[in-house]
Amino acid sequence: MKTKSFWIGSLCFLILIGIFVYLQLTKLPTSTVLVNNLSCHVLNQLSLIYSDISLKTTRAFQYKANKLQPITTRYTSYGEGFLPWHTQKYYLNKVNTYRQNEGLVPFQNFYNYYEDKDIVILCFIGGLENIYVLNKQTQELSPLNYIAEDNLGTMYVFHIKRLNDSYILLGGEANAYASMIYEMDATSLTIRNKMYFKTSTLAISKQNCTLTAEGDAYFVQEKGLLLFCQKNKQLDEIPLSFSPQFVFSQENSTVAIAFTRDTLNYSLLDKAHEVIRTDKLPLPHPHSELLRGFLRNDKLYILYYNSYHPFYSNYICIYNLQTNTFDYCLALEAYKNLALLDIY
Amino acid sequence: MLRIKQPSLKYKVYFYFLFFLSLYMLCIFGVRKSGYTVPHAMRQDLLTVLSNQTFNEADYALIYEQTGLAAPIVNELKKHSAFEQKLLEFQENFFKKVKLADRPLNLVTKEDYLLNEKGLAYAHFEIAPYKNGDIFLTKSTHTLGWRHGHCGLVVDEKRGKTLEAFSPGTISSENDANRWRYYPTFKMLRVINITSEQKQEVVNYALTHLNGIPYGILASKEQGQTPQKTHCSLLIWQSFYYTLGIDLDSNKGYFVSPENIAKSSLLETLQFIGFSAKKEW
Repeated sequence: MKTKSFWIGSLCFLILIGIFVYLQLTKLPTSTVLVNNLSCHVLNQLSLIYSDISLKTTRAFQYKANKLQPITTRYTSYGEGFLPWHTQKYYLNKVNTYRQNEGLVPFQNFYNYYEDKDIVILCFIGGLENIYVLNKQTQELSPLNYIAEDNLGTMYVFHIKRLNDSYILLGGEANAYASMIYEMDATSLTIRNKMYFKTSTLAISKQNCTLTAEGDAYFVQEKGLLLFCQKNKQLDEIPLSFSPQFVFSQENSTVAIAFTRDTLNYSLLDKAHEVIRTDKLPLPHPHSELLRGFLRNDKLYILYYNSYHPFYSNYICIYNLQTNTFDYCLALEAYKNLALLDIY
Repeated sequence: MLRIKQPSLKYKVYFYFLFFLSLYMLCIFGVRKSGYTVPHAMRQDLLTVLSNQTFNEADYALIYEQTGLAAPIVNELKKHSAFEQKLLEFQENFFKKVKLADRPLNLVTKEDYLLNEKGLAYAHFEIAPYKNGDIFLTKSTHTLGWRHGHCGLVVDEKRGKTLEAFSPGTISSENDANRWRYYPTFKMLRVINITSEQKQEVVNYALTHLNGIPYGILASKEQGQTPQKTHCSLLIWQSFYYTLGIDLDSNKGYFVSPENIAKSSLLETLQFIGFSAKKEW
């Protein structure tokens, strides 16, 4: 009788524990739509990545039709973002197997990566010798082809763009306020061109520079932007009325932005590098800080972090720069002990 | 005759279980108590001192106990236009009340962090200007009651990167220096009486010989110029020893820990927070 009671009690206890764990695992971040002026009133698919400080525990969610849904795939970090863990592991194993066969030390993780329908480019901190290309058809991994003089030194590869039959790689030189831009043949993986030039002390990370669809590069600097034009391989300066902190590009436009306590100041540039608008837009809450930004379909997406608001830790905002309107704001409360670090 | 009954096996098991549990709880309590040291001095108004054109020894000492910044850093910051504002911000962070928590890094090791009002980890201080070759150190990691800490070497002062060997199962790698702002305790150390060129030599060696090698907690100091394994404090030791012959292990033992590095007389503290001003560790 006693044994029977013990087993029934234990079973009930385990069931309760299981229900508690299930509820914890399936708990969603609490979100509120504060602004919604989108024409369709529905935010297109957006992925949110939460992580702890060590970047080891991650949770991913999809925001679709104004609802958050958990993504069951576990994500893991690389230098500049997050990837499904099996993809990151596969690419890293590919490179480390290659390196092992060449008698080289393995890598812990890649700094940046690029993927299109044909290839995957994996960039590790270092020079051209630390960049590998995976052919998606054959799954064959290859290093780049270059002569020693082309290798300008150790860099952090910030951006990669496909440009006709070549790829443009933009890197920030390690331990220097300088940048390297390489043009790589898409078929032979040969370095065709290289450029090296000094940049501002403000342009130190990925979001302080950008590559346009034409392969032009912009870098933030005091009271303007430094422009490297791919066509004529010349440097130029674009003066602005403010000192930008971040710069983003998409197909036809580039935006340089800076923040004050309450406002987002921006200048919108066209393909011809002309400033077509300089204006201001509101922040979702004073003292909001940019974590991630990008242009998509002519709209500026910004993931903010805010430590001042009593409830909301993050905001995902969409600005329409053509009409100078604040179109959408999703406010998110703190989620367990994880921070919202990326959206895409 | 009185016969003393021997305790049964069951009671012996209970006794030893309770004994080791108590010992473990004491270690946890000790670890938690030493997780953050509040400033020993009362907060004072710094504006009068900061507005001086030059500082004397007493001024530097006051600034140090009020902000955690040593004279070389104060002189570096004095070149900037918003010097007074900057120092007051450092003071504000230095005296801010904190709430400590910890989270597991693996089965046995935990890492402390600070909680804001929303229960999230946050970066509670600004790192003062640093140079290549500077050493970042924290005592905010512990394993089974031993507060061993962690350290890293600044290898890119412009883009903010440190070289670190984190934990078993990892390979040493470059990391974002801003990550150190999340540790409750922090010290920036610099080897005294060496030139910038020598520090760069140390960094170059570390990046070519100590980057991308496996973590080994029992890794020996006697591995020569091309070590096969390292750990956080050994990486620091190897960097300076194999380039400049500088031995940063304060007790010259077989094993070098972050505490051994912190107590080295060859280092000066440039910035600290969460540590005692009067003790190296």
